[in-house]
Amino acid sequence: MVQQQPSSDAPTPPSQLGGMAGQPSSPYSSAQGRGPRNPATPDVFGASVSSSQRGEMGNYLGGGSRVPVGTPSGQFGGPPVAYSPFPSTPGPMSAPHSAATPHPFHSDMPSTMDTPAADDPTATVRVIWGTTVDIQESMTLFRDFLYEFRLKYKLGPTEGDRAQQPEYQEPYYPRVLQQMRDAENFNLNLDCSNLMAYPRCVKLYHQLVQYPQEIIPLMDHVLTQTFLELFRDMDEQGGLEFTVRPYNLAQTVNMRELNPGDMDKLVSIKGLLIRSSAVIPDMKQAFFRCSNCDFALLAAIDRGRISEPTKCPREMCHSNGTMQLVHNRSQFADKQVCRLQETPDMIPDGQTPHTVSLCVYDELVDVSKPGDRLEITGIFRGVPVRPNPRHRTMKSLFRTYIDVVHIRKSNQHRLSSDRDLTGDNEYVVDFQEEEQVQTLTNEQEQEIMQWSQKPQLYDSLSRSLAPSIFQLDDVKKAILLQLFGGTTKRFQEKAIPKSRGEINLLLVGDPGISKSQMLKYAHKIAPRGVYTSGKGSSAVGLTAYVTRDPDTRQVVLESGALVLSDGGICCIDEFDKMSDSTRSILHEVMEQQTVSIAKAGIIATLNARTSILASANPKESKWQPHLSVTENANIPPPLLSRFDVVFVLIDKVDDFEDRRLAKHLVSLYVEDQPKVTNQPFIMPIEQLTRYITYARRNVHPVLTAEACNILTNAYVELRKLGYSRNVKVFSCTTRQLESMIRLAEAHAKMRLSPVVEAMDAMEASRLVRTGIQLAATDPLTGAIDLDLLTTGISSHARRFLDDMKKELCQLLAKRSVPATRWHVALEELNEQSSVEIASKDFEQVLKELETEGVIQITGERGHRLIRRLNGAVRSAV
Amino acid sequence: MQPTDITDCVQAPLTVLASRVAAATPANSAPQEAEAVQHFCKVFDARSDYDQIPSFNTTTAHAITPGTLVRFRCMVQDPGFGHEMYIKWLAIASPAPGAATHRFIKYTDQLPVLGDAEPVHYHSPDHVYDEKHLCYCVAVPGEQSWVDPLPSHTSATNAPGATDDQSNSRRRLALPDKHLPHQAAPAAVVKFYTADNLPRAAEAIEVMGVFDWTVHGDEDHEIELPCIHALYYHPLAWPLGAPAETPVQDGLQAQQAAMLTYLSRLLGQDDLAAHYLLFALLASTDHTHGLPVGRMVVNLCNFPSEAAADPLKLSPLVEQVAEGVGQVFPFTVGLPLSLDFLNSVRCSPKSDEHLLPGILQTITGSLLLIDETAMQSGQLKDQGVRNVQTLHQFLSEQTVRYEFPYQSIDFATNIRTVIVSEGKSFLPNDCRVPLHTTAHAAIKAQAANALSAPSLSDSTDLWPQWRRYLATCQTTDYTIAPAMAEKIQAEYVQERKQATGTTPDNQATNQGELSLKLTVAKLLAISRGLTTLDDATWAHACDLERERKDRVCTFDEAQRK
Repeated sequence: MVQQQPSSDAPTPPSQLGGMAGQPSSPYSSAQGRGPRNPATPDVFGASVSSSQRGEMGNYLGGGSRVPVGTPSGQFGGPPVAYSPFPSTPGPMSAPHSAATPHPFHSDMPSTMDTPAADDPTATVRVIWGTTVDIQESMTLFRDFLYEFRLKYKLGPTEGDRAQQPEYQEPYYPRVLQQMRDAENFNLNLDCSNLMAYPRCVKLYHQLVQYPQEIIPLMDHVLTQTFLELFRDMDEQGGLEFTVRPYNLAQTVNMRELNPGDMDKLVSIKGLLIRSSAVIPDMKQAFFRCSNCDFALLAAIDRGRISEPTKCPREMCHSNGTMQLVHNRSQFADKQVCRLQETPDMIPDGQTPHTVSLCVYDELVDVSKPGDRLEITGIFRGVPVRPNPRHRTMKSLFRTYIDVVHIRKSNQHRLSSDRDLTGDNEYVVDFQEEEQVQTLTNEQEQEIMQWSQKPQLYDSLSRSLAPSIFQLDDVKKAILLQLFGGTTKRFQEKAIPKSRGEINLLLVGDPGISKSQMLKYAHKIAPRGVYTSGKGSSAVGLTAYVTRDPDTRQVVLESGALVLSDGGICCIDEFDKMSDSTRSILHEVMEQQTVSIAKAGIIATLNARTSILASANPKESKWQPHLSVTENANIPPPLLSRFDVVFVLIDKVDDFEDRRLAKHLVSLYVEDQPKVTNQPFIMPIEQLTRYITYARRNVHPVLTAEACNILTNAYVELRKLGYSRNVKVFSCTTRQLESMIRLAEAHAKMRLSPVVEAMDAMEASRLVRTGIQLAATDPLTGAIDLDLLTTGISSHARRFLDDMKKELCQLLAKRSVPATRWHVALEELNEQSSVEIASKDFEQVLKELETEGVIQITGERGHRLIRRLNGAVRSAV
Repeated sequence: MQPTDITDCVQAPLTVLASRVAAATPANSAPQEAEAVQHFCKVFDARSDYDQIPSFNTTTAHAITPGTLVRFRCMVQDPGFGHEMYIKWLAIASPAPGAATHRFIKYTDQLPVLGDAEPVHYHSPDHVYDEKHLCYCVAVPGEQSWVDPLPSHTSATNAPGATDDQSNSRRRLALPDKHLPHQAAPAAVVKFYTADNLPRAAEAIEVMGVFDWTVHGDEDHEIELPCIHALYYHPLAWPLGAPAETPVQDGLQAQQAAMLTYLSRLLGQDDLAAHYLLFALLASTDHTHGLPVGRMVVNLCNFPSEAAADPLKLSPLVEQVAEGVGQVFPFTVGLPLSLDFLNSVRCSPKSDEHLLPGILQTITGSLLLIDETAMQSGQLKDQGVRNVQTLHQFLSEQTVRYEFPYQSIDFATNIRTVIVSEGKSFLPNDCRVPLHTTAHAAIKAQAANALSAPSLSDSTDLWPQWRRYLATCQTTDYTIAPAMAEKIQAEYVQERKQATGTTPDNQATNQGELSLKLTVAKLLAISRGLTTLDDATWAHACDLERERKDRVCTFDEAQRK
């Protein structure tokens, strides 16, 4: 901003520009003329053909940042460059490529690096006015860099041994150029860290950042030369336009910190693309034809502006106002205006996101779509705000935007592109850059490592999860492990489907014990996820729905909550209030991890690799101790069994706990109490998120033999618990074993350990037991009984019913008449039994016997008769 | 510093400022302006002098001459209205010997006309450039007229020549937005000249600056908006809208009684409801614990309903309450939950080209009065469903969601809320207070003879006192003594024990109820001017809660029948 560039109005000292002022035929004077890099029209977006009738208002349009304002057109001293009548003259401007980006070697000789110096023997050091750029030096440096840079320069002191490998020894860029030639791609993405790593080029790097408008064209020029030197046969083809696209600057600035000091410098910012315009044809060269004599004239863009000739330049004709623009013979380039918004992690607390305008050109048009996270490198610019022509006054304002030279997509932090989750048939776009954007700084990574070494890691992490929620430590731990997730296992044999690594949790319990708060916290921390309430969700709202796009009238698929939380956590509050049809779609999601739709001509299976964290209130709003979990939760057993851990949270009256809780609550109302966040070993929420994301991405633990043993034993023991009472019930299914494995993996992930060790396995089995003990406690016997989860009837009740069935059969067999009255049978049975038989149970037994074909029931309600079918009863007994 | 004429400062602030800056800058030294601007602002230190500046709140933009000083009490509606780079010090290309080499052109968008001899270059290494930040500010939503009474000399600001180009069709007074019923509130683009301490979204500020018009929008849809170049601004002090006089310190208990009588008159002589209405006005939410603590969303149910003529307005009976409260409480926003309103209005602010306002975007401490009696059955459209979700989230977490493209951000707020409904409200709330059935007649009677309503107007002279009372209570520090805390804990444990021992069916009191009781106790204490919770207040709070619960039970049973 502060430096002055050569402008044609200023008296250009010949010693500086080598007497070439006004003839843009050397790379440095083309610095301004180069199309994409200098579209500095004040009406930022769209170089328009402005007629000179616009008079004084129009004049300052030219040159954007460097032409003076407010004076009549006479101020352009020196050779007028408003338009050049060059189609007829084979001058330097008629070089095969755009006149806006001339390179001297086309007009002079290729590879005559010393030509400018030879022109002006007096100047030994020549710099571009207003800068410290020595053209000669910079070009030599970059040339040297292209020829000599080797990857070994980038190796750190500890990686010295790798330097011996041939790929580190060979010159790097000739290979890249070879690739460019093969691919016919004439953009060189220049990794600036390479420039920095090459000791001689550090200065060039700084110059590049300071004076990109001067250095980039120089680089382009050198690149072209080098390319043509390397591949002589390409020389003939001509029309090659090479562009150097620098990226990976040493510093990325925050959008908020851009200030006038960055003006005209190379900056690198990160953000979220929120809008991009349609492609705008940006006129590069206008074609004019005289309507009188058909004389044709080409006018090139000059400092972002094309001047319309007022007179026919042909001497014979010389008529006024006859030149007409012929659109289809003019040349246009692509241009797009976009808007970049700050990403959530950059926004300071309590602030709204900033945005900045971008201009992208040529190959970069449509590279990114709205919604993409980008790191862009570009030149920060300010153009004077054009005042309203109706107003006499001039504005002292500038509008700022960035001319993009490089776009890098950063989508790695999205969990969806987690390699772990990607299916075989899924296509993930790899961006062409070899290095992805670093999402973590080294300090952050070290911090994470330090945390992982702490002895109280597990406790402090789980406490950080919801610091303001009192107690419920095991639930917090389970949610923590859910956030880390297990490992998705894929098997070698293709026929076996992969097994899910996501952990599903269910919290059932009394109202007013912070279940919803817990869900909110999990949702806040989860890298991706949706929070929804069961009552307000419909089946399509959860899965996906088909709708018609208002613009195109095409049928489109819109994702619902479960699909949106692919790779994250879907929190469903008030799970019990969900309608049955809605719930039924969860069956597929919770085991297959997909959502299938078939409607309105769309048949699709969408991925929904989501963990589900649900909370439910008991059926009667208060937990009924005499009912089983399934009865209390009002959730059908098939669905219930899909939850890895079910937590039953009962609001127990307990002196000690009540007092602690009351103390905690009262303390919230005391003004000068220590803040919760100041507690030791509490990790701030942002850091916790970072930790989890890091672990999920980088750690994929594998079971050790020891852990396998422990898990196996734990599983066997769980099953034994069922056998010990000598009842043949299938207490523990493999689902519980899988749950334990997942939890153990998650625990290992939390420790950032590559292997699942004994401690992980032990914690996993402990959590499963806690969950089971609470959830599957038989309300009558208090014993563990997973039958509750799988059939809905406790094994105790099951045994009882079986006994009753047997008794009833004997009773019926003993009787002389085949038909027995309903209430008589019940009474007689009651006489035999030590406990009173509920008529409900009795009915259940009768129903079962009837389906088994042992008895037959006739008659109406009170007058029902039980008729035995002789042979069957005897065999049943 | 030479004495300055206030009128000069108001009428030609830039001239005064420029001369001061010139005086403060020695020749050939770096330009210095910060001090001069500070001195300039000091001129208005005295309240009476400050009042001489025309207020943008009460004067229409067309009546203000560009280049004069205005003040504006406003809410920052869109803090990200954009940035502009500008020339702060204009280098003069060929200064006369000994004359200043730079010209101070901050606080304006115009370049000075220097004459033909001195062409202005946009880019010169000698210019000093800086950046200004633009915010779109609107008058504080729901502000009552008494907060800033009209200054007596407003007519004096109608300077001649101010109405020159009123006919200019591109001049708008506000950004057009069809999603919010505009009460034609004054709005302006405020240009801030500092980089740090910029106001946040929905913050209430007082700005003093130079009035001007600024061009906004692209070429085809260019409009001119009023703009203020901020010389000075500060956040409005808490409690908002408090009268400038010193707050009342003594006799708070008596004041509280009088206040409650007034409120109960508004609610048809219902004392209990008046208590809870007062609590709602005093409640403030604390977000520091990660959970909203101290929140008090009151649902006044069993309220008589009467259809409103305009679906976008509160029903007449609720309007009456809003008006009554508005006389003592500075910022009240009404939200009628009629279908038309829900379907047409936007609750959460949404960013498009700019941040479009939502009705929940209002300043900390204002009162939101949700009128559920206006609700009728019908279809909620897309916007309506979104609005209900937003309201739901706002009421349960005290956060307002700002929708930005591809991301939405939740901002913690502190807005007092009262929901008025016929039956149980369908929105989440902290406590439900069914109005006594006898109150219906009283409320309706009051509405019927609203013109001659004695209850409201006969206390007019007491209003200022009550306004001060409410402001005082809001600033009261409050704490719970350890002994008292011990007692509350013991009581809670005891209550739970008893509940399980005697009545197994009856639910034991849980932590939610304890929180509510603590909140009620706190609000009751500060409404009495107490800084610590004492036994009597705690007992009273428990009584109030018990009474309320009983009423809820009776009401629910009556409803079931």
